Amino acid sequence: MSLYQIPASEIRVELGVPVPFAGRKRRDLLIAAALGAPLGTKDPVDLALLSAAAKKEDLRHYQQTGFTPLEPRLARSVARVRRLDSGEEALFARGEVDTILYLCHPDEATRYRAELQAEMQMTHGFRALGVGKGSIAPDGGERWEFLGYIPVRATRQKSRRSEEPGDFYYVPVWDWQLRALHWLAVLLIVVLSVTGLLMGSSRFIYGITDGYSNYLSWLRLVHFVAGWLLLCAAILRIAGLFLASNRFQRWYALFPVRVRDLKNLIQVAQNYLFCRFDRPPHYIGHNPLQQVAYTAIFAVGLLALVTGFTLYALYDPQNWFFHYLVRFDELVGVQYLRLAHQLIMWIFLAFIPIHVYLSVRADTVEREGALSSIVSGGRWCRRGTRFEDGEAVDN
Amino acid sequence: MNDPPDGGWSRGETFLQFLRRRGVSRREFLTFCGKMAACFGAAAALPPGSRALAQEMARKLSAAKRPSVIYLQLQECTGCLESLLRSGSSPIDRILLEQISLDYNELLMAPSGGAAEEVLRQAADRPHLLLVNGSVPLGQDGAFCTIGGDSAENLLRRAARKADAIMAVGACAEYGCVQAASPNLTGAVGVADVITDRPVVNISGCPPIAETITATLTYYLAYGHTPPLDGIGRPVFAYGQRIHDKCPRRASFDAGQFAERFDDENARRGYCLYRLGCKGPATFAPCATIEWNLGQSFPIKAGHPCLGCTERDFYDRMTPFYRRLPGFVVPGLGVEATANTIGVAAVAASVGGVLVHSAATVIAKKRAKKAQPETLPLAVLGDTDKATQEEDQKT
Repeated sequence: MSLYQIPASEIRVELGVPVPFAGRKRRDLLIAAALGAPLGTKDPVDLALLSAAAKKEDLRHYQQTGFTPLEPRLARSVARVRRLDSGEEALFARGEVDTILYLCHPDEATRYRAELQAEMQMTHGFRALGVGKGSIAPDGGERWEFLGYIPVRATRQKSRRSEEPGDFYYVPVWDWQLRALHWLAVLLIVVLSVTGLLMGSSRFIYGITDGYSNYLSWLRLVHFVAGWLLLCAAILRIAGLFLASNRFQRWYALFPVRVRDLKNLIQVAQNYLFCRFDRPPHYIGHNPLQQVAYTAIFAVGLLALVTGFTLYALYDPQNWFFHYLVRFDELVGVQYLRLAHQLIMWIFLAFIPIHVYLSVRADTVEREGALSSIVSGGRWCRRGTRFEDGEAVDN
Repeated sequence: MNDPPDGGWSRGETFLQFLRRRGVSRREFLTFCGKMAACFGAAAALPPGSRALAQEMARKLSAAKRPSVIYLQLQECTGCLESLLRSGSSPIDRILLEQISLDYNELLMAPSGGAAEEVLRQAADRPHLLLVNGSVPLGQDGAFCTIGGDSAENLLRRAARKADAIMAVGACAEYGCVQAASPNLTGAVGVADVITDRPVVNISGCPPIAETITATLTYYLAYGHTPPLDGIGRPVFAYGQRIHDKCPRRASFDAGQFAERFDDENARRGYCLYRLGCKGPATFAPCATIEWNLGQSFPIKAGHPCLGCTERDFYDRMTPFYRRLPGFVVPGLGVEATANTIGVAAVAASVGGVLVHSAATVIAKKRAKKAQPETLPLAVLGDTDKATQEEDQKT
């Protein structure tokens, strides 16, 4: 149909409850409207009427013998239909309510009621499709009667995740090594932040150490051990960028590279910013916004490690390794390094709520299965979804 | 400066001969050597057994010839020399100080005017040891500091030309200290920035401990070369140790016991001054071991936090002196905030953003359900294209 510039899959036709006149049945009105459709029609409204009417009556009993297409001046179409078993012929006219009323000449009351109702009740884009039936007299004259109208609406339906059919298949995404590193890093960053805060703020210290203890020493020990472990985790993760066989974990998954990915980055950002749900680009791995955000937080984590170990290096500045880091101390100044180290912790603490929120949101609102993928390693993908970063194996 | 009449260390005489003539017993001499050896051995990577070291030093020092010393005082406050003059803890120190041939020094020398300039010119032509106090202002062609009508830079270059070794005594001579702090109006730089073709021993501190200066001199006299230096040219034997690691208040640091104000109960108990801005953990100096003014005390012991004066640019980087971390001005607010204030604000903003966004998501979800979808033209009602459909909707 040249009338619609959009794919047929996005057209959605809704039929309201038929409003019959003069004591007729809804069923008859619906069948009459369906019979008024041209033979072999592809118009979505016709198809909807036909499928609705087919549930009420077997339309194979009827045969269309003639069809006058809709003419702009008259604004109605007329179909001539013969009933196969009785051979009786009838005309079915469809169009705007007023044109059908003009054709049928009903009494004043019916006319007034039909016009008023059709106008008043049509909301939310529904429009009234008037239906008239004409019986052919033996002398060739036509007698028209007004059957009623059917509210019709055609809308463009954008794909909405929650309305799509729930037909899922499981796709493995993240290796267990990556998940282990992720949760190890979570644990370590929490431990590092808590011990760091405790060390940095006297508010938490007093009341715990009355008398002699090694309270702060223990805090520092835990902090340093966690720092070393985080360094190990970072080294493993960086090694994994180049060694992992999983393409979602390799180094080229750190940044969006294709132009389409950059466009999708903007699209995803807009969807998040303006709370829109329309047509999100689907990715099996990270979407471009995630890629950028996670790479950035990864860099921040590395910066935390560098500043942390640069401060730690002060305990042995002559060490074969630490004396390189101490130069960094001399370059920036110890106090500013400590300031930076503390600010980086706050960046992490501010990142965590956003990260958790967006993950939960992606799981519940967009049904992308982000949460399950970092626990079980895989996600449930909807059948028929087209992914931007490659075909998911559908089996 | 002429030799003292009562038989000073005359030129050509070895140190041992001189000491014998002055009536210094071998026991006294070995005590001094042992002390110095312990001082050098404290941090330098020298073979263990300071007894052997002391004997080696005694042997070498005995054979030392009286050196000629030029002691320049440039853009400075004379505090370093005041500190050096308090290096009188034993007769040997005094003799060493008296008996080096201090040919030129603005503060202590008897000659003045043209005579003083003549002495300097003569001394500079002989092999000598150059000690420098004070920074070299390079701004305005050195007009900020002139002696005898010549700029500090020229004086330094001339005196350094034939010097066997150059020692920058004090923070000013090392990098410029307070004068070089931002905005550095006089363009002050340290000796090592002017004399770039030879190693310069930096004896850090504002001022340095007198014993550090004499110990460096002793080392030079004993070994004929400068002591091992760390990354920024400081003798490792003195500046390889962190104040924090040898601090008498370290135990209360490890226990998490801190003075919060100078007059609180914890300060009276002698708790750690870390929260009052003590820079001991980032400062490398022998203050905690050698202490000041004939081993009497040092700032932390006396109840004042370390300012970190032996570290580079301490006036810029260790400030605020009485706060644990530097604050910074938030652009637009003009408030000096600390890292924690900013961090808490960031986390609050992040949590708030998450709450607002989730509320917006709920609202947007509801709206999306209610929203009027985009309606499409209906062929059965005679719509031909978008234009007519819009007209239909208007009427």
